[in-house]
Amino acid sequence: MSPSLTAVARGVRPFIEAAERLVTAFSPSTWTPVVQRQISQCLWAEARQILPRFVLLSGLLSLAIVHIVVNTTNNYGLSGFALATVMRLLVVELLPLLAAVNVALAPPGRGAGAALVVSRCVLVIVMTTLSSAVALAIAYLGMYGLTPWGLGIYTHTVGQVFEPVVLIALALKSLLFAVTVATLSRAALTFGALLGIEILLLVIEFL
Amino acid sequence: MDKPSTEAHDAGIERKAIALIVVTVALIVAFVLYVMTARGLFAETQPLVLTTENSEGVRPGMDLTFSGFPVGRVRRVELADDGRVRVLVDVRTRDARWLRTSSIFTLERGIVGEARLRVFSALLDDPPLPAGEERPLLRGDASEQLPQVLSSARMLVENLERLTAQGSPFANTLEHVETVTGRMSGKQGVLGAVLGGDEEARKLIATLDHLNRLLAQADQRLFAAGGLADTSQASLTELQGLLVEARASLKRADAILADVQGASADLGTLRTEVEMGLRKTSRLIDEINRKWPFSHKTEISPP
Repeated sequence: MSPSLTAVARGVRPFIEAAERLVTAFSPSTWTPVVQRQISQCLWAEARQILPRFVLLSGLLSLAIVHIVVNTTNNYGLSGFALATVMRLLVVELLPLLAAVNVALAPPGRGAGAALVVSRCVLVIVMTTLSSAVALAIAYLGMYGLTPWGLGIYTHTVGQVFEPVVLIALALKSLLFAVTVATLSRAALTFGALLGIEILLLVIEFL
Repeated sequence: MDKPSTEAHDAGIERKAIALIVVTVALIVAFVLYVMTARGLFAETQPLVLTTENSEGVRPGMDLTFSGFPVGRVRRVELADDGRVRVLVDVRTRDARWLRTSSIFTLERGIVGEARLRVFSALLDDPPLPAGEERPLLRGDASEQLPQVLSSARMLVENLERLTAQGSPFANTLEHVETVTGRMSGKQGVLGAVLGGDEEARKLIATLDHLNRLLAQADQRLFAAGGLADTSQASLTELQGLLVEARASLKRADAILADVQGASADLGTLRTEVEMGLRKTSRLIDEINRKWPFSHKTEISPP
């Protein structure tokens, strides 16, 4: 084998291993009661460790961003775009990436093999969902305060921002982030893959 | 730790993990349903077709607003066989009451921000717009007028340049204004500027002084004690007395005339009698003339 081919093979190898881990983890034969119990334990252990901290931090970040965007758009007379900007920035772009990075940086839980892959996969999606829900609530409160009268225009804006393409891209992005974080073992590769997925989906959204 | 308590602990963790997953799935499902509701997937709609010449600024998904509230959404934009653009709009049935037969639809494009599709219904008592109706879409595009505005601005700048150029009528006028204001700041002020020089202004002032003196003299002649005014006043009083007397004389003359008019009625009779006397006298003379020795033969001899 030539040196260049060896280099390519060495470079591709982590991805092949990741694919093997993914296939093994989601094969029906793997899901024995023991593995299921391991998945639950692993998921809960990691969730207890990361989830509260992440939801709190993402909430604070959302609060800061909502405040900045709402004030800035008000100053420039563009308040009509504030809500849509916040939703796109936080829910569609920032929070899925932050959730994946947080799980990738967290030390692995007790489980190993398939249990670890599945639990990390699920955890990324759980964290993305919860932090997005908190961010949407903060966006409403930051924009309209404690009044129900903004709900109509808020719902309308949600309908405008989350077009079918955006929803599919968001779902695909979260899934790919989860799989990347759960299967790739080396941190540098994981971040590279996350960045690649982000760029790819941005290109798809623009097209 | 013994085996049953370990199993119970594991079961507890399993339940918590499942609860976490269920909450997440429930949130995702609720969000998807919320988005579908927000996009009007469960709302009843009625179609509306707007036709225009240019589809720029119109995109599927944009709102049709009435008084700032979204009442419909653009579903599709297509090119018709006649080359006109057809904008297919889904209007929510519950908001269709704001659309009347007299409603006007506009597409407004500002220089900043996306285009806005609006409906104006001034007469809400008019019949409601039927479903599937086709209406013209009026365009109000601020950016379309930019070239015209730029061209006008360029013409304006050129005119300004022409106006302010050296030797232009405007510049000459300004020079004249400067000369006039220079004169105005001279000893004789505005008068010097208006008359064209200080010498002329001095002449005018001298004339005015002379006129003032004349007026003073005239005032003395006219209104001083024993002046023309007093004399005229006395004459007028005298004239008034004369007029009274003249009026009395006229009245007397009128009376005399009335008497003369009465006497003139008897004159007719007198005249008749005189005429009769004259006629008799004439006849008498004629008779005497016929008597001898006064008679003479009357004959007509040819010339």
